[in-house]
Amino acid sequence: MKLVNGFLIAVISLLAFAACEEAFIREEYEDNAVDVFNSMWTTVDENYSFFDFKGIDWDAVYDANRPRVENGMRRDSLFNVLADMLFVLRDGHVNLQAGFDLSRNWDWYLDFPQNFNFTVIERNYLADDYEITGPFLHRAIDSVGYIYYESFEDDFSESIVDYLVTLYASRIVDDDTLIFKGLIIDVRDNGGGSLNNANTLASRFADERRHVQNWQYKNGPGHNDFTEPVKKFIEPGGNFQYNGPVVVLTNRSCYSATNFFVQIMKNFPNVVVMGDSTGGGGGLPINRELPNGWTYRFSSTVTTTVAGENIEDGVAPDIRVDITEEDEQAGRDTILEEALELICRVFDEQTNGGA
Amino acid sequence: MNIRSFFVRYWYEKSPQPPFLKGESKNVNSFSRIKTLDNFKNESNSPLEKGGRRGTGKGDLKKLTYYCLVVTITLLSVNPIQAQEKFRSFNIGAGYTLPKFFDRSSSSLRYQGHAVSATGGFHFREDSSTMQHIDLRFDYGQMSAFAFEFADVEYVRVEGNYSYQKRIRDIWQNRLHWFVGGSINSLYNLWIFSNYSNNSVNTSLYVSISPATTLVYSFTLWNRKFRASYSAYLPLLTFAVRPSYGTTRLPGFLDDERDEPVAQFFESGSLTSLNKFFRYSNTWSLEYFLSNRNRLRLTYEWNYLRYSEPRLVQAASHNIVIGTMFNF
Repeated sequence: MKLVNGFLIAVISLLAFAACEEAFIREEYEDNAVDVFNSMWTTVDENYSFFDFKGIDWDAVYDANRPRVENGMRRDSLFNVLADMLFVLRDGHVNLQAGFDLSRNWDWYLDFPQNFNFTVIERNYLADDYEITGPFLHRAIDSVGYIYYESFEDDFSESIVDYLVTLYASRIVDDDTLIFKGLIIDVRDNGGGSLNNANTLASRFADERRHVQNWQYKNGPGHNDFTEPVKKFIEPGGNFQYNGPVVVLTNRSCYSATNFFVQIMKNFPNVVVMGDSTGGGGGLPINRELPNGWTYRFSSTVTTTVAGENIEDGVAPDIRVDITEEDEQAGRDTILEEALELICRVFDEQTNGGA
Repeated sequence: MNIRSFFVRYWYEKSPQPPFLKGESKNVNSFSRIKTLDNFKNESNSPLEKGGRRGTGKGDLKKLTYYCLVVTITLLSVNPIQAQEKFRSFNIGAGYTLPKFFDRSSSSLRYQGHAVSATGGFHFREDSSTMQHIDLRFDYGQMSAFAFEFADVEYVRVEGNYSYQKRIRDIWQNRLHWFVGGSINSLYNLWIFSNYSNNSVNTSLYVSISPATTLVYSFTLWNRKFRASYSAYLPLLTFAVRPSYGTTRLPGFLDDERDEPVAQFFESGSLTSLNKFFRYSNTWSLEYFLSNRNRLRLTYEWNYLRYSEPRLVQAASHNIVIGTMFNF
């Protein structure tokens, strides 16, 4: 009888236990200003990857901003407090998205010369007879291939990039003249996008399998809790690898996936990066939601070069060139002109050396 | 002992003041109370009847309690099917799931939604002393944080269980059969956050070894054969595969260069037990025998999961399924 009674009690207890997950799965934060603030501060505190690299005292940020928040405050006022808090991170991968505004810190290019004017490129260099292949605008300029790629968000197929590198690598002899001396890849004002696109494009210039970057992921709530570096490699892709002289044009508006692309390209012996430093963006951003429905994102990984340099603040060019005021007024792109000259010079040296 | 008598005796022994017998002395002995209850029907002294000798019939709660008790006693008093016939059957079913989860790896918010369910499985009973079940369940639905009006998380849940149990005791005069054994449980959760980019896909897998128990009660009611059962399992040892701390990628797959998915999968998980992983599932089902011995089956399951590594995740679901069991 005791067994039966015990059994009955157990069954009734289990029945009562069922459906009570409300008691276990509780909301950590409510939809009020203080909880929204605390939710964001805590999540960023535990997951953001560049506190120490940038020397940011996140606790001080809390102390400075928490008094500005009280329940019942206007939504736009709360948005401004949160935006101010995130602004301190100095990171283009950090945004707060509300229905009425998007917070950002775009100082990574606003504080620097633009060094690019697409109108000049379109009217004075591409002119009328350029080709549009997928997201790429391209043509030959003075026997040098020129490819402009506006955004790594614009996808392309393997066959498209195969076509491009094959086209400008052609050593077709026409009246004893080599058609293409080299290739310029212009990624200025390219704000990033898909890393897959960056890797696919870079793989056409890889002479061999190369260790190009190291990635570290957050693995704990501490500001320095990271995994061991994970090596990233690029190996030759597609049917053809371009091994002629390549110049990659950059400015401060090169960000995120473009930053990755430029850093990868610097690993190849036939590639030179020319222009201004890239804007940066060396961490993969992750997204979160707030109790009031707003969303935000922030960097959660660290990328370093093989030598261990953090690329969060950008990748320096091999040859620093700015567009001069005179050239700008004359409708000339100084950086592109320098790249053309460099490729021609290299070609001449190779030709003469070969002779 | 008559089952009704047993239940009533149990009720009175455990309840110092039965809520439905207002006005009765607290010192009345349990036997007299049983007698009182046994006479409810014949003597029309139900508290539901206004003016009855014992009941006041005034409180809705007391009425509800009384109804529940009567229904329970009725169910327990119908003619039980004594023999546990052997059978092999497969079942298919469809239903509805109400899922909830909280996963700090992805969000500081709690999510809830709606999902459709499909179930299937095989049930074997070669003799009256053992049972084997293989059950599969697939859920697909949409979820959102409580704060939002729109669904922003796609929800996929796949569960597979194998259970082997032996009958250890027949109780309530051989009308209720108690099975105890073990089960292997696997659960796969996939949450896709449509608002997210690099961390949009959150996937996790749990494979557990659990003690399991089942109670089976067969009976006839209104000249129809039914079988009611309750089953539960509680994983003791679990291999859990969860995303890394700061990304939704699995730890073993952070290095893209590796091409050893099996090794990477096992590196992504860890063996854990009740101190870090708690999961509890209980299922109530009612089977109705058709004339050809196939059965219609109504099932309700409540499932709760809590795992604290590397970051706290909690998930629960209510699931109701109606299906058919075919003998073969």
